[in-house]
Amino acid sequence: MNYVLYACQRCHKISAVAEGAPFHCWACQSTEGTMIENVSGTVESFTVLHVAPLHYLDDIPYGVATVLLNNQVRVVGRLSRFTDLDRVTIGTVVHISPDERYGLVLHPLDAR
Amino acid sequence: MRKVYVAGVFSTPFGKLGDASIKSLAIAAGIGAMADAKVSSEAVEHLYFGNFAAGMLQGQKMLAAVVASGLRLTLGPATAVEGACASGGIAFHLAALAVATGQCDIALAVGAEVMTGSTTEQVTNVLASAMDQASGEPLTGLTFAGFFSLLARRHMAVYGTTMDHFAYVAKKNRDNAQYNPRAQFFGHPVTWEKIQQSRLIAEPLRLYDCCPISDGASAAIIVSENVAKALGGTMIEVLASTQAAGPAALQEMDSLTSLSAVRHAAQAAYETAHVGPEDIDIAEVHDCFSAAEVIAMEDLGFCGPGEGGPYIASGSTLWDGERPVNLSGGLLSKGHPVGATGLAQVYEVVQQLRGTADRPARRARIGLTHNVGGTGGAVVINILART
Repeated sequence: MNYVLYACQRCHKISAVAEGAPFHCWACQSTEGTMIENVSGTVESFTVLHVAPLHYLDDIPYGVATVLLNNQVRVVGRLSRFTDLDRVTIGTVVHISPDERYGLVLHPLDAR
Repeated sequence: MRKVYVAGVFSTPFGKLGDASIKSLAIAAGIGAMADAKVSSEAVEHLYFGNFAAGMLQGQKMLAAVVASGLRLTLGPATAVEGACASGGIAFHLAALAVATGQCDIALAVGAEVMTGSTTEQVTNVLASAMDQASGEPLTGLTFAGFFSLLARRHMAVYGTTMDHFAYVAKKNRDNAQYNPRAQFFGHPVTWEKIQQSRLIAEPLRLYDCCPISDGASAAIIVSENVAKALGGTMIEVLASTQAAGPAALQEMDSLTSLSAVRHAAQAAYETAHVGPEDIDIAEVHDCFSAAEVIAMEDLGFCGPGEGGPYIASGSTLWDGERPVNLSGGLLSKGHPVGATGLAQVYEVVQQLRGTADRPARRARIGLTHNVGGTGGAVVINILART
């Protein structure tokens, strides 16, 4: 399932939405949104998982991070498998891309 | 609203309970609570049953009817509720509400879960279903250990909280469990070194920062004032039982260092009970992960934002501290059979207020329970008092 990012036309908050699903803003409930691409943000917090749900056992260890975008909106994504997890810190800049398996994938610009 | 009292409580041991079915555990808890209250099954008018995972792990739904039938409860409605780890707390809240609004005079709340027959990966999978699936966040492979690790790391960055602070929680609650024969880790103390060197689960949290997988059931009989007086015994009044909803996804949270539904439910509970955090003598809080107890201290108003770690490290929440927290051992060491936890918290606080706990607190007139479901999407706060 692919996830894409939408910016709300009313309050400008950003939501991750399954491709093809109707958009509604989580913050103001507006249904008017615009798909956005080429989004970057900074890592707000992150974890490296060593115990995983069934479908992710082969990925262990893997990183998941919350990312704050420029307007302080938070999205959650899987750190790219090319990431050096030891180099990820709060404040690391990441580029965000949709991904069929993981929803959103985070590509650190300075932790590869 | 009428005054509401807890007339009876019961809890099975928590842990790996062999081949016990969820029905047998729930019935044992229900019978135990009715016996403790000295009421017959014919007198119970409403049943509220809390469970999270039986539909997925055991293929058993319709549990309220199954349990009501097993307990020979035939007078009124039997209702199942699901709010992830707050399922038991919600069952208690609805039972108290039914009595408070005069729908009935005697209600039974039961919570139960059977989890240890499944693998860790299966349970992790089922627990992750409590996240907002449409948000896409579970697709990342995030688990609940991962969720609380994200909060833990942010708390450390913003407030300077340390891993030692989290280890204090794990050590305190494991030590407390050594006085609770129903606790999963009764008879299994741990050292500082073992806590701090245990294997990583979701960085920065380690094994002893995480609650175990457990089986168990707990129950409470909730009654009106007239019934409580007729039954006699120590009167335990429900000063407040509040429930609040919060975000079920990280992207909707206003902060990673606090759970908004806890703040809202706690504020409503304090206002309803006409008490403040300073009046709470003992508390059973939802320490599903060590970091969750640190955050709970702040959200409940026991200390200021960011002060949870130092507050716990000061010894204030120890058995002989100013406000003991999780004398039962908490979820971390008593165990966490998800649907039973909220009612197990009520069991411990009622025993403390009666003075009949395995290790009575030095002062216990007013007690608080704090039960959190999912990512803080469902929260129940109860304030109970010996009157």
